[in-house]
Amino acid sequence: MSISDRARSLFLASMSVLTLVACGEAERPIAGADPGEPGGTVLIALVGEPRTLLPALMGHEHEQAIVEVVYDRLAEIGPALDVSDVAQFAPRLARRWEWADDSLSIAFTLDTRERWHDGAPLVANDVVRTFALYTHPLVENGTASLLGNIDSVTAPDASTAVFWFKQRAPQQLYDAVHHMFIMPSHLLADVDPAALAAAPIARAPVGTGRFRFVRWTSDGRIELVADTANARGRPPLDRIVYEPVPDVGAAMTKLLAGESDFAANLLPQTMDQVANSATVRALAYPSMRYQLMSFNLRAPGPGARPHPVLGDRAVRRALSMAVNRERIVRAVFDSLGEPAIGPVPRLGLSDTLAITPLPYDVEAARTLLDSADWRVAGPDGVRARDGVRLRVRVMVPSTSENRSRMAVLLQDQWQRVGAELVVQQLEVNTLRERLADGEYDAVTNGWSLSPGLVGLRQVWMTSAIGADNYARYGSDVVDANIDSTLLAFDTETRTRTLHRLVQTIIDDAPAIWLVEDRVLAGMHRRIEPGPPTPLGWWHGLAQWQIAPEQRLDRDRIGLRTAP
Amino acid sequence: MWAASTLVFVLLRLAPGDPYAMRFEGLPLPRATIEARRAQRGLDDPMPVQYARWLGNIVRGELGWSEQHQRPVRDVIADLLPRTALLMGLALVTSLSLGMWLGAWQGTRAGSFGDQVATTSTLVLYSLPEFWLALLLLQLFVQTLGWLPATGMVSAMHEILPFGERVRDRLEHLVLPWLALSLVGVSVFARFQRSSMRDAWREPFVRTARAKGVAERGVRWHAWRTALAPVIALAGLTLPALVGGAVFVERIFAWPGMGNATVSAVNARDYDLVTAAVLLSSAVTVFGSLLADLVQRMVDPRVGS
Amino acid sequence: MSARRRTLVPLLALACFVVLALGAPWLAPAPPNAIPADGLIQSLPPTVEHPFGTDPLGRDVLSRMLHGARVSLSVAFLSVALASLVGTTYGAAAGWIGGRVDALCMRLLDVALAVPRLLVLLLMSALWGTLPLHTLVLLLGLTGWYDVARLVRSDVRGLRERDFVLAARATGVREARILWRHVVPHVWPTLVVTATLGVANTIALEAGLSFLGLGVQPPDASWGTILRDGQLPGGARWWLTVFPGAALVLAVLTCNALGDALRESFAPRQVAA
Repeated sequence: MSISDRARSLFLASMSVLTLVACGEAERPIAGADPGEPGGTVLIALVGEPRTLLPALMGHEHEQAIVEVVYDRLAEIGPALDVSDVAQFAPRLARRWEWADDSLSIAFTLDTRERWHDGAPLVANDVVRTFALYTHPLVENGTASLLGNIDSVTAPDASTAVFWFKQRAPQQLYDAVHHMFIMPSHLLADVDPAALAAAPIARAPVGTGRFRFVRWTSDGRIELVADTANARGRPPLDRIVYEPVPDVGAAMTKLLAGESDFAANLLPQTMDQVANSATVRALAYPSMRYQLMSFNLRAPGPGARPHPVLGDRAVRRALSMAVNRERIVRAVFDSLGEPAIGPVPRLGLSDTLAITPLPYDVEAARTLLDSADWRVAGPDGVRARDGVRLRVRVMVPSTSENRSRMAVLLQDQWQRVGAELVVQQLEVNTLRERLADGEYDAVTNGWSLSPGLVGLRQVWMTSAIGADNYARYGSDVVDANIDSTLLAFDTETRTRTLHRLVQTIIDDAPAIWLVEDRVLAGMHRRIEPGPPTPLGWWHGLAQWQIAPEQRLDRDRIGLRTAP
Repeated sequence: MWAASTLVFVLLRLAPGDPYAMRFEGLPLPRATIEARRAQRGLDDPMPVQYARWLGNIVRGELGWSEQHQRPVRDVIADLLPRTALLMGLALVTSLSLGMWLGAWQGTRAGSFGDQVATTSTLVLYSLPEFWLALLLLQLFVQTLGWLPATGMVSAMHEILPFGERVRDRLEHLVLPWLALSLVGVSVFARFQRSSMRDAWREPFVRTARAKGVAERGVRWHAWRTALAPVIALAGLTLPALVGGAVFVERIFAWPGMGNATVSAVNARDYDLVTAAVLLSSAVTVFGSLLADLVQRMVDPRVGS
Repeated sequence: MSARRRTLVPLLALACFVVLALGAPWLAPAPPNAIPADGLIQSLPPTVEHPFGTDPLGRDVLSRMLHGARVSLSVAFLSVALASLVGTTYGAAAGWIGGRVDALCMRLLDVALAVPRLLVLLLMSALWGTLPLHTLVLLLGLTGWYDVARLVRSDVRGLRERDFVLAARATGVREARILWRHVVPHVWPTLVVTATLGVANTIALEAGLSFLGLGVQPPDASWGTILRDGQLPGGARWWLTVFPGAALVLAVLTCNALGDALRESFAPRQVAA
């Protein structure tokens, strides 16, 4: 699995409780053991070379894994990842926050003990500057669209930053704190936003996090050490070194050879190898991502005519019912995935039993196709109607082995009901261009939903046709219910409208929801990853520790850094 | 050189995508930002305008900005080039010297048992696809024997090692990629040198020289010099690899060099980096063939004296 | 080994490869793309039923290799044939006309040589989107003729001043006829040798491209894609690396050995000509 294979997420968010995968022998967690003297060096293999370490420019997971350790947010969302449950948010750079009476502004009081790694104090102007850069049109940043409800940020005094909102919404606090990492204004004051990437701080970050930046070597290694002067205390580890590798195969090699302590996004089929290694253990991070095959409901091209095959709801339902998703998931992801339910992953639904997926029923699929007048015509067993073959071309990114495998399995299963699936492996650029032009029948892709489910708008609303609504699907019922779900302040309404919209989309079958897969990572057994982290493997790095008796030579180097 | 990079310039711009479309696997850039950026970088101008601007920059020595690395292309290449040159240079020197020695030795005793063994082994080596050989070496030396580090140029904690250890660390990391490249390289040069040496060995002047009572070593030297021409030409053709790198070997051993960087730059549509890399490699191509000509003149007794 | 045997052995081996490839539909124990209809879909080590094991989608590796041989070999043969055709025409034209045209042609060749082949292939495949087999053949052929052109050109230039050509010209034979009757036959040995070596080269290159993710579209296979499918570090699922890898190396070796042997057997005649 390469970088581009990872689900293209709407919000960068993977979530929920970290689980240890059972792997033949019982885990012996060293939790509870006294960490003793802090110490330890963790080597992390990253697939892909980071381009920048400036929060406002970062976009890839392998950049975020570093940025999140060096920089901080104003506050962190609670472990339940409920965006509207404001009581659960934990202070970080902001000590506390107060809502205005009209709920249209929130005033954050900054923690005055916080210092930048260069010794300068944290000031409210840092927040103002951060917001200005994140939303500047020339700053290449994908999160800007998520900050749309924030009108402006002001600094009435040095330790107070006020966020002004355009309208009341349940996720106001989340919007204000979650998407931005605060950057130092004193190092960014004279920088031209259009040339932000060329600023020294982009390659030598100065943050407030519990690790500080030491070096970025010419061969791409990035070294961080514990910030001993940090207001929240020094972390248990001494040092983190990130090493870029060209692909996940090289990461795996490094991990098994003991040259790396951690690598994420390993191929699911390497699970056994990781788990059976004497030095490495397997971890699986549940996520809110799912992979699907989206049908193009409109004829390929710009127009709004229905697709000659996929425009028909009955055909789409039949094609969905012909698919044994359980079998596909077992074959490709083994224990690291579950068949996806629909447009919202399990973790986003309070009651999965309230949703009825389309059944796997080959006979029913055949009957549906027969009654829609798609009949087997030629000797190859493919159905046709009025001279049109029941043939769908599916685009698969050439970098993604797992999606190709799923497509081949789909092809095999469709064949049994007389439908032909043609797999087209495409270079990612070409694939994107065809998506933008609407020139496709179907595409395998993945989405990762944010805690607030705001992404539903971008993927399934009529207004998103031509953008990220790859199915080019439009339904008034769905549109209305998405709006109600996102704007509802009470849980009951929210749940009701959410279930209604999910069921409507599933019944219309604009896609086949294939899998909710988990992120496989390998970690050296001596490392204790600490309390479960809700957002991505890197999120808890400041809590990772290595018990003194388990330490290797490199764990005893201490804080010493070479010049 | 010119034409080569122009060709790539055109191909790159014709290919779908731009440096911004590929930017995020996570959040796509807002359309407004992409448009602003494209406008700022002049990517919406007609191709001739873009080409003229690019040409002007090159003439002024401006290589441009790498969108993929978010750094000036000059800096990116300054990082990549020494690493590639080190690996490829070592491999080239080894292949050339060992290959010429082996080939010359074989050429003088063509048909002997030793020659047949050598011919067969070079043939086998020559037939091994580079990536397959690299995987094999990785399996053998790292996963089975555990003698050598698997990937990268240095170990993670290289900087804090004492000087002696640092040198050792570097060398250890160099062994496998060097071996993979050299094994194939030696077989290529040896095969060339063998056939040219054998031909030279059959030339009348060898018999004449022997008859004149020239020492065997002198005869061999003379024959070798006449047999050098094709090998030098081949070496000249191999020279661009010094800056081009070796994609498969770099990828398998995670050697951060030009080869893999260029391929990923193509995929990321990092226009300036790709064109700069091609410019560089075509410059070395031209230089290589000139150099080969020059050396041939110097060595060949029939041309030189 | 006698010269005759040196040619014969690889020739027979190559013939075997071709027969296996052509006979794939009858020889293969299972359809190449057949996924088990029920039971677990998984990669299994060699058994009696699946002598080379199964791939991650439970398909029979031996059958996929036999069918893959068709792809790998036909891509190599066809693209080399194309390259030889283009290269010969280009080289012969340049060498025969000579003068400025020749110089220009050689400069153009230098340009083409200056761009790394892999880069051109990557860019062109991006332009095309998918790479159907005929496109792959076209691409490999159109980027593989430079060597042929060079060699043919130098041969032709040498021949141009030879007595029999001059004699033919003096008797008023048309240029095209001279080229066809007198020159091309002399170029033939060079061509056969470079083509054979070229086939070896292209088989390896195709596998390399598949390794980078460019190549035949699923569910079909070439040796390269089978290798790529099975590539796991640490020697796991060795049957997915060893068998297709061995086939690949053997095929390349055979072609190289044949090329060498042909060169040897042609050499004296060339000297005598």
